[in-house]
Formats: sequence, C-alpha cells, structure tokens
Amino acid sequence: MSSSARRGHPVTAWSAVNGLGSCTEEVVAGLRSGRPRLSPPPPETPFASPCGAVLGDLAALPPELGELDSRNNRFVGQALAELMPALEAARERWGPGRLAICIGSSTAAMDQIERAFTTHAETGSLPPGFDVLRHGSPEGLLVVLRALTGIEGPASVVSNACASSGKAFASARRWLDAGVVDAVLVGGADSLCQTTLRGFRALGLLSDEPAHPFSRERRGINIGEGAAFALLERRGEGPRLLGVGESADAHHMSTPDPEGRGARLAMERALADAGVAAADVDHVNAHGTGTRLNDAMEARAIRDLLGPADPIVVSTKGYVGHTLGAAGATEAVFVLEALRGGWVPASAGAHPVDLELGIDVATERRDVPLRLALSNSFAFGGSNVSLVFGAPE
Amino acid sequence: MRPVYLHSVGLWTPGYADAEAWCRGEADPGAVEPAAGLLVGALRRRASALSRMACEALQQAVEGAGASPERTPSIWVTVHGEHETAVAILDMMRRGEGRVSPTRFHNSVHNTPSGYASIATGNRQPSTTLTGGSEVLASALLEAICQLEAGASDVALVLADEPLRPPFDARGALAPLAVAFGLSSRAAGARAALAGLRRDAVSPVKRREPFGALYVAAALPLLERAVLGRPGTVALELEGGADGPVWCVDLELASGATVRPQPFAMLPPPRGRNRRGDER
Repeated sequence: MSSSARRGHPVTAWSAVNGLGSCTEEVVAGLRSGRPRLSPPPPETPFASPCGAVLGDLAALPPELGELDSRNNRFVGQALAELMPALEAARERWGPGRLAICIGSSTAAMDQIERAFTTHAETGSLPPGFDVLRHGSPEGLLVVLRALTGIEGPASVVSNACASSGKAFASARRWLDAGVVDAVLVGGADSLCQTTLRGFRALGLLSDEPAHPFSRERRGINIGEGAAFALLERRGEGPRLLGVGESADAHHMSTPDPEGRGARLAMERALADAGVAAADVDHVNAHGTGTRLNDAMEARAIRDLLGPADPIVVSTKGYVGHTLGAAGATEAVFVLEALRGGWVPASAGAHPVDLELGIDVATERRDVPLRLALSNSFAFGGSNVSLVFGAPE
Repeated sequence: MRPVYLHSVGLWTPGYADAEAWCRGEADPGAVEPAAGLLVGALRRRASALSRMACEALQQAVEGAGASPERTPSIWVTVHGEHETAVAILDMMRRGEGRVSPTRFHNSVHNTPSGYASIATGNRQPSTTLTGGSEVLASALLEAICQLEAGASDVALVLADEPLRPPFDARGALAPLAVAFGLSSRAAGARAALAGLRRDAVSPVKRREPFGALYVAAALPLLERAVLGRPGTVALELEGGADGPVWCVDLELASGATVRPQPFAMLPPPRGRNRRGDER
C-alpha cells in the first residue's frame, strides 16, 4: 500500500441529527454539556423505555420527492441540508460521476411498513400506492439521496444491523483506495419502530430506565434514531479515516462472544490497516450498548489489545440511545468532533463505573489533545467493525 | 487494479438444485429444499428458508472455486431481507399482547444468512450485506472487486431474495432465488475474467418467470454466460428501473487453462447523460 493510502482519507465535512438535536451544532453542544436527551417511546409502545427520539418538526422533502416522505427520509434530508455546500464543492472538484454514496441502514423506514400493515389489518387494504420497497426500505432511501445530492457514481446500502454504517466507512475506504471514486458520502439513517423496540424487549436487552453503559448498574439498552453523514475525499482538510477493520464473531446470532475475540480482531485489523501501533490510541468511542455482556466483552477486548495505552473509553449511547444502523456514522461524527476539538465527552450514565471492567471510562468531559481514536460497532449476526480516525494533520 | 476472475457459480431455486441444472433447463421436481449442508443441528432448525437457500448457493460457489469455507470473506445481497420473518413479527405485534418472539427478532436482520454461515463454518472474515434497489448487483460487484484489490485472494458473492408476502405486492415474483459467484484474484482455474464495470447504453436484464421483479434475477445472465461460456457485455440491472445508462460489466472467457490477465477498471459513466438519460 502506498504511503498516501496509509495516511488515509480526510473527512472534509460531517453532520448529524438525533435525539440531542436537529442540527449538528445542537447535537455537539449537547454532547459537550454531558446532558443526554431521552424521551418516552412512541405512543403505541406497550411499555416504558427511554428513547433517543428526534424531537421537533422536521423539514418535509422537496415536492418532487413527496411520495417518498417518511420520518427516516426527513432525517436524511435534514442532515444533508447542512452538508450541501461541501457536497457541491466536492461535485465541482471531482465530477458527479466520481462521487459515490455508501450508507448504512438496518430498519430504514420500518415504521412506514408497520403502519401500512396495521392499515391493512383494519381496513382490508394497504394505504393507496404503498410500495414496501419504495416507501419502507432502503430503495427509496437511495432515490432520495441521489435526488438531493446529484451524486452519479456508485451508490450502496450496507445492512449489517447495528454495524451497518460503521461498515459503510469500510467500503468507502476500499473504494477510495482502489481509485474507483474520488469522494464518498458515507452515512447512516434509522428511525424508531415497534419491531426493534419490542424485539429488543423480547430478548431482555431493553432497559426501562436511561441506559448506563460501563456502569456497574447497567441493565440494557435504550433505542434511538437519527441520521449522520461524513464526506470522505481523496484530498482535503480535516480529521482522517486512517484504517478499518471488520470481523465476524462466528459465535451466536444475538449474543456476543463473551471472550471478545471478534471485537478484538476488528480493532486489531483496523490498527494494522491504519499502520499504527496500539500504544498510540488515545480514545475509544466504544460500541458500549449498556448490556451486561456487551460492555464486559468489549472492555476485555480493549484491555487485551490496548491495555498499555490505557485509552479514554466512552459510550455515547447514553446521550442518544442506540441508533442501530445509524450508530456507526453517528459515533464517527462524535469522534471527528473530539479529534478536531481536543476533547472527549463524558460517558453518559457510566457513574458508578464498573471497576471490574479494568478500562478508563470518562465520567466527566476531558479536554485533552487527541491523536488517534477508535470507533467500534458490533451487531447481530456477530458482525463487527472498528474504525481508526486521526487528528487533522 | 488487479485482474478479477470468476471461478465458480452457485444457484438454488425450487426445481433447480444448482446452476448447471438451471442452465440446462432441466427441472427436478424433487428439488424442494436446499441441501445447505453447512447448516446442521440447531442452526439448521432455526435458519429461515432465505438463509438456507443463501447458504446453499454460498457453499456451491466456495466449493466450486476451491476456496476455504472458513477463510473466505463474503458479500451478501438481499433487497427484501428476512421478509418472511419481518411479516411474522408484524403479525405477532397485531395479535394478543403484541409480544415478539426473540428468535424471530434476531433472525430478522438483513445479515441473518451471513451470520448463520459464519457460525456454521467458524468464519471470522469480514462479511458485508448490501441492500437497496436496482443497482444492488453492480454495488456488490464493486464491493467484491475492491475487496480483492485490498488484498483478499477470494471473495464469495451471494444474492438471495423471496417474493414479498401478502399483504405486500409481490410484483409478479412467484419463486425465491439464490445465486452466488466465487470471485478471485487467482488466474489458475478461472472460468472467466471481469472487466470494465460501468454504466453504459445497454439494455437492462429482461424479467423472467417465475421471478417477476426480484432484483436478484438480474444476476442470471452473468451466471448463464459464465456457465455456458458466452463472453460479452452483461447488464447488471433488471428492467423497470430508471431510464438511462445501465450498470454492466464485460465478461471475458478463459482461453486454455488460464484467463489472460486483464486488469480490472471501473469506467466512468458515458458523458453528457445523467442517470435519467437526459442530455445536459
């Protein structure tokens, strides 16, 4: 691999919409303040569990895309609106055919499918014109993304459950390294739905109070929603995506390997891909869901691999819930902000920290210069991804 | 970029237990259940029909390429995902107290087939599941090509989908289909080489019975040309998508024992036309 490839690819712009706010500035202010913003679940939810719901009114899609209007696509529209100047500059710089889209989504607009199914059960027919692919699945998401951005290069949707948008960065890196495109709009989007709320509840993984990742009082996850995007370019200014690592647990569909071997392998591969040493990692934005098992196995993997570096570990899922397919991109945006600003957010809900985990969990924000940070995402199916980002050069 | 070789194919659909049978047009009424020999015991009992047929196609392609089941990275495509499971969950939420089965739920994600395959074979290599619309086969080939370029020696590409179930519109699809390709950077033993992934002014793939608008069926011409030894430019999108240039790839055949090394390139889209084919 050439030395330029080893230095990775700059992330020249990014944005996020989630429970902390409906624009990036609001989201980052919430993260810096250390105050989560969780809400009650959607009204049709038959139990209590705080959610990272996007609050307030969302801008409708342009009239020509009105048919594809959904909560999920509105997150996308809102998060993309902020990125339009950077996207237009990139389109000008590289040409629309050399720009690509790689987005991760797990449930996409499943809430639309649920509503259509209910309508059918109650009235005997689906809502007029309802098409499960266009209105409920990532097919419509791609149509919206192409229309809003004018990107003409390849477009892909990764759907590896909660690792989806983390893995979208991995694909984007490979496309840029291979030279087939010059810039990639990477991102993730997922919206709250009953399938995931009730499904995680059925697995006994949903917390009925705000989640406590890495705390000895942790009892499960909160679910969130939102969209996040990052623009990776062949050349430019900004923090850099230096390496990616992917692995499979080969253990169980919904339970992580308790020994954390798959998680460790993903981080090891990411460091090797970046060509950096474990000792140089300053910060890990962990998957940190707040379940007993995830946090224990992830801490073990971090300890085993990065122990001597003793990086500052946080989970930001305490702020916005687990945004599932959007989690990788959302947390990548948090890491990019941390690298640019030289601060690590408090790991919301971590107090009192589970000392048996043996890792340095930040319970307060720490203002420290950072060189290298890892972002982890793990998923059902045992799918793992770890991303290495470096501070702007 | 490194050359990209197509070594093997896999296929399962009711009535056709493999790609050779499909290409010969020899239906076997006994082929009602995919063998999916890699799934045994509890894994086999819990795996959905989609996962079983996807694992069967994977196994055919990996074995056909002489690749290692536990060391080959994989790329999976499913547009509808675990649709049968998703509809079963929707149904559960409408009935009784609206409780969802935990096993059904963890089987509901798009990467369920790859999860089962990795557990069954002990494979810890990267595995990516792609979804989307009419471009999904081209995206998956691009992903495979870039993984080979990044150093993988073999990559398995598996595509599987079932017709949508009531009350959703099946769009003319009557049967499920799983297709797989064994791709490699190794020349020896290859059936064919791939070159020039691009959008071009070619005709999209015609819909074929009994698959209706199942996007996976867009992979049939590539599979058939590879099996029957017919080189040429192969469309990768099913008809019925947006107007304008269509994703396609050039298939070049083996001459003698090896395929001549043809570095792979992704060509830019034809100038002067956008996705909808309008003049700019």
